[in-house]
Amino acid sequence: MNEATQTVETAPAPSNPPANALAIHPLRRILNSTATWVFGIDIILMLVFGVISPDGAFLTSQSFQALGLDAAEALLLATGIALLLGAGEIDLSLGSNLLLSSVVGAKLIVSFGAGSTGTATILGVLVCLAVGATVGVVNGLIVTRLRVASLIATLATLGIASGIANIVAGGSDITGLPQVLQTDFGIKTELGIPLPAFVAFAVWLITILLFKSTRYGMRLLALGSNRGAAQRSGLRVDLHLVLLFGLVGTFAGLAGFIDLTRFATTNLAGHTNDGLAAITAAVIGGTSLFGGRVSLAGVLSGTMLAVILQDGLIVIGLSPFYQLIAIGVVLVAAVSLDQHRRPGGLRSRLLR
Amino acid sequence: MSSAAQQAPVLAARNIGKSYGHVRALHNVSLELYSGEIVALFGDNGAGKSTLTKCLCGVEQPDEGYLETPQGQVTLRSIRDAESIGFTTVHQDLALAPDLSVLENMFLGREILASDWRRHLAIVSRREMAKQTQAALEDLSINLPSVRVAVSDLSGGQKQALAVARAAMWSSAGILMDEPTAALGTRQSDIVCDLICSTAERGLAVMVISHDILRILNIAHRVIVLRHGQIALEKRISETSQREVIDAMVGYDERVRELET
Amino acid sequence: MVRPKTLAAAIAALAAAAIPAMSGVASANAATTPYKITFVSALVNDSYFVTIKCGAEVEAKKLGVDLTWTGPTSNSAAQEIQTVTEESLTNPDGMIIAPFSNTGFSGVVSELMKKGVPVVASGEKLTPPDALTTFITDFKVGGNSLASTVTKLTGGTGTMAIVADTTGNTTDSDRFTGLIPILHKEDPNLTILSPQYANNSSATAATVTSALITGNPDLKLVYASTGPEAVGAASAIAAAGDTSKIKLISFDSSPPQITLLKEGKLAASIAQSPFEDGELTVKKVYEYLKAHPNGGPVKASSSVNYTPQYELTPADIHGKKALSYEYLTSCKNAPKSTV
Repeated sequence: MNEATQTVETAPAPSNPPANALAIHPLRRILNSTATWVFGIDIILMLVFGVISPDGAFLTSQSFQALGLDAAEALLLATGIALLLGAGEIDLSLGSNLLLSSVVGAKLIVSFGAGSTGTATILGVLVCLAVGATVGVVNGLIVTRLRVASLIATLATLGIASGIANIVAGGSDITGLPQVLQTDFGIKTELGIPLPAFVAFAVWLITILLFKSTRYGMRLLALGSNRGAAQRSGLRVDLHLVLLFGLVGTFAGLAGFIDLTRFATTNLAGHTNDGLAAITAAVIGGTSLFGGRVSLAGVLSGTMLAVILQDGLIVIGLSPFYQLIAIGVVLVAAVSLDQHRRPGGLRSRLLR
Repeated sequence: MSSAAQQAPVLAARNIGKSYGHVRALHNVSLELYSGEIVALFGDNGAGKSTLTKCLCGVEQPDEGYLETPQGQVTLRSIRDAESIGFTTVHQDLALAPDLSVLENMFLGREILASDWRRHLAIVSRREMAKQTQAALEDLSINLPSVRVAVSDLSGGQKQALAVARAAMWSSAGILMDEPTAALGTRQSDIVCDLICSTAERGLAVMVISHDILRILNIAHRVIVLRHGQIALEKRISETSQREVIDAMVGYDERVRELET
Repeated sequence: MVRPKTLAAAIAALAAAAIPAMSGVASANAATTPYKITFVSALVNDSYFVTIKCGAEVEAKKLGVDLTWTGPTSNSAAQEIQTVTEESLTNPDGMIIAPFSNTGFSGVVSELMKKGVPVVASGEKLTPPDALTTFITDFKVGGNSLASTVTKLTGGTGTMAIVADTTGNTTDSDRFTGLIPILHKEDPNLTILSPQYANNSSATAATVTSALITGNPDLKLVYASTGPEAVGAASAIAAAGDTSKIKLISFDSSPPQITLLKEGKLAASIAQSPFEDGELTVKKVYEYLKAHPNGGPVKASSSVNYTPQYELTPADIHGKKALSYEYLTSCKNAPKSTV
């Protein structure tokens, strides 16, 4: 046995960078991240659309308000899905969850009649959140108890929740919701910010704070980074997953309530794309599909990208068919630029 | 390091046996691990090394015999049970989360919470965890550039060192190490061996399973060789040689060409 | 002793007498077992189609028809074709299909017609015209009838936007393709933007409409081709605070659209008559089956039967006629019959 204690030198293996290069200045790390790049693309697009649009209409406060309002529900869903992806799971059912929550909430509010709008609204919010959480917990239980991969499990609940929503709604969209929901919340702005956007942004901000500073944020990443390691650290993996699915479902429930306040009705046939759009926004912003890496800043920039594109192309008067092409091109460009910039990129993560 | 005879073993296996179906993986295996001692466990493929390790770390339970600590007989049904008697394990895959930092890997599942009101929100204190991680690493003379870098940015040797340091931090009695040098180059392997010695010097009982006979013999106090699920050799390092070890592994009486340079 | 030849002749005579009698009994039985008619709708959760269902059920009950109602819960031609194929395996006597798109159904429809199962199309003209006949609103007439309303609401100047539903669907595009040239002639100073598509999503319609508002400062009128688009557009117009400046017109009279009319947020909407459509289609299949008891391949025809429409406005929304054109969410309060 070698008696002399030697320091473990930072001996670099051939495929890794020298150790002293690892302590990257935090500012450089932010500048180099995917989220920042997508923010950059967002700003460039906004400037381009602003210049091309008549009288710079795209850069008016009314335009920004519309962007914020359009992004509110999507931001909630994308925030939730980023957390799930970080933990190594996925959820395709968010759109149906949103729908079911909105349907049950609408039924409840309508049943209260004209007199007690205040009570009806409060209970409506609670019901939307509760239904959202329930669908989420069901997803979590299917994954942990029945050991079904989350891709398949949530594909199933996507259909099941939609079916239940249609049954509860009784065959067509629900009407009779009090107008105040729309006028006092759904389309109302306070200090220039639409209230739904304010709520979604607040939820996003709180999520970032909790994710970065609590042990649950740390554990969530461990679940996605190396599930086996997380298990061997003694974490109660199943419990964590069920609670996480439930939390994400609650986000969808909140989005469902916002949907009700914006339109004063449900939209049974209109939420089929929501889940995939949320995943796209999160992944473009830098959250990894494979787990272990979450970018909540990227969730915001990715969501904004989708809304800016959809809005901006119409504002500048591009025909809808060219819009589809333009959106596709921007998506590919954004993702490939990101791959290019990162050494190894997707491949290195797959080889890990 | 006091002589083995005066101390009770921190962990002992008494005549344990384990079968998988009709295959006898272990038969009548007894061994003792003492504080501050490095025990090398050798054996050819299929000799029962991994089964024995699993029985000692709680992943499997022996069909015959039992495990014993100074407190008496124990049954280990999980890794947590093993940890509760003070034993941690460093598996071959290291069980590190690559996206998490060094300090986060160190404290995963045992996070240090902030000391003020924020602990009610389960807010962690990375500063405190960094401090303690740094201290633990220094204690074992491990020099990493920063405890805040992601594990995926470390070299193979650094990752191994971290895994050992983590096992040492959370164990109070001993550490089981499965092939600690298997994935490393020569220089890194030497460094990890020094680390293993440091760990034992702190008073832990260490058992190392390895194919790297030459290198591990260099640091071990005692050698155990398994063959066909039974103990073929158990001697103090001073009383045996590499040749004897290899002969015991393969069961030949005639000399065998050395496998390691 | 009966001679074999005589016995054979006797048996033959008996058989010859029995067969017509038996088939007589059989056809009498056929007349009393109700016809099985299956209605495959483009959507089952849309008030327009629910109203068709109510009308179809009323007529089915009157005629003693066994009616099955089914269809997908989201806009998908592929899914609906699959449903039609599956339903055809249950051997209905007749089928009514409200196809989601003009094309794609000809394979399955012509197969059914060849097998002797009459297929009536509702709400969509099939290309090629493989069905027995088609019952449809004259969308062109309905859309065109909005011309005077458009002129009134815009004063003939400014910009008009169209928020449509899906591409490649004449049931959607007919609502405005005839209107546009009329407006070009009548209101040459009115700019009409090319249609944007919202695919039945009110959220998409809201996004689209708010972008149109941003991009067209002199936007005066939005024409939404159906319910969710009207709901989304109304929300965006209200959010922009421009309810007084920007008017909304639409096609269809789903309950949310009725609400918008009552609140004055929708200036006019062309209502179809789905209840009557349901009654007429069931009646048509029944009459065909009755007239052709022996089956045989059904002859396809490009004939079209137009069902009435009516322009609803906030002024007459509470009237009796308007009531009869409102789409239903359930058949509880359905009228007894309109045919």
